Amino acid sequence: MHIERSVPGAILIFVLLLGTAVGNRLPAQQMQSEATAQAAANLIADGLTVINLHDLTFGPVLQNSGTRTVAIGDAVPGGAHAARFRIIGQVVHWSFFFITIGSFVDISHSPPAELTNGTNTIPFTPAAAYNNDPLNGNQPGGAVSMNPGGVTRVRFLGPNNTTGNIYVWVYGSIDVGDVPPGEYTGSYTITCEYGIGLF
Amino acid sequence: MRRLLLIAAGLLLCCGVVFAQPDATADVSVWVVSSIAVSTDQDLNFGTIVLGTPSKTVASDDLTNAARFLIEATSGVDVEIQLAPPSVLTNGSDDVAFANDQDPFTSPNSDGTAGSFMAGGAAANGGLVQTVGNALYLWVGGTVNLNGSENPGLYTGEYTVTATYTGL
Repeated sequence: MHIERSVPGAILIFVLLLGTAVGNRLPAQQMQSEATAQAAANLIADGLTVINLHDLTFGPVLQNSGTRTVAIGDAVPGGAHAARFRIIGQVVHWSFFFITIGSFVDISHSPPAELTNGTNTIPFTPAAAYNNDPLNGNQPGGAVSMNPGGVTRVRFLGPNNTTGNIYVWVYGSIDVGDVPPGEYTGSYTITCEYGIGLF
Repeated sequence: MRRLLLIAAGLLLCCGVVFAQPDATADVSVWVVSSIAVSTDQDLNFGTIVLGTPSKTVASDDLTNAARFLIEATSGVDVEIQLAPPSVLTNGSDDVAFANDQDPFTSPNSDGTAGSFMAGGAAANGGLVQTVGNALYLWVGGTVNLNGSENPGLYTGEYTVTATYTGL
């Protein structure tokens, strides 16, 4: 009986702490409405940015040459080069007993099914990976594979109340058939949803 | 009221609270290039040489007598040129020495206009060129050196040019 009452109480206290912590980081103008959920949401939204650091390029490829793959670490100027995004957000986390709440990003993908040149097409099979290491996050060596067809939740790591980075690489393969010479292009979009949740 | 707060707290902890949804887009591109082809348009011709003449040279920009090759490749892509000249021209068991001592000459036009010599000289295998309008003409010359003991006759050899895309 004692346990049943104490656990919900702990959760309620924790939520109140959450509101206080977020409110402390509001700029002066918004501090007038501190402790409201709406003010906290605005603060975090302002801090989330996604930058495209490099496009995905397969370079020159001989027609009818079959599969050409760009790997995560490929970075040849003018040739095979993986795309790289940088997601910048706020590192926020709290721990309470065995519960940790922190800031995360849900990363979803909109890859092209094919690269096009007029009515001609080349099939594209995407691949992606992320690295949220606060020290070496921009290195593909420690990256973790992610499913381009799904949503991947990634935590911002690092000291509390600092700027966190998550790097995302996009790469993959194409199947070059007997298509006319020329440049074939597509667009790969990643969308990030920033939030705070349980881990 | 307390129950509602507890439900809200539970939703926060279980599902998370999502805020902004920024995105970014990267271009994905590939440049498909056509197959590369090299063909011989014209042979290298030293013409007639009178016995006793020590040597004769055909310059690469001697568009009448130098060998001319046509390289067909996608414009704007580096093409590596490999030269495989003969060391001698032969006539049966007799031969005369051939020196690959002339810088290759290239032009986007068959008449040699707007042409230039390849950097690195004749011995610079691996030189890079690019086609213009998917075509490039390449001329090669050379020198035959005689020692005075040759027999009269037609001396021949083969000069091969290989073109390869780089970076594919």
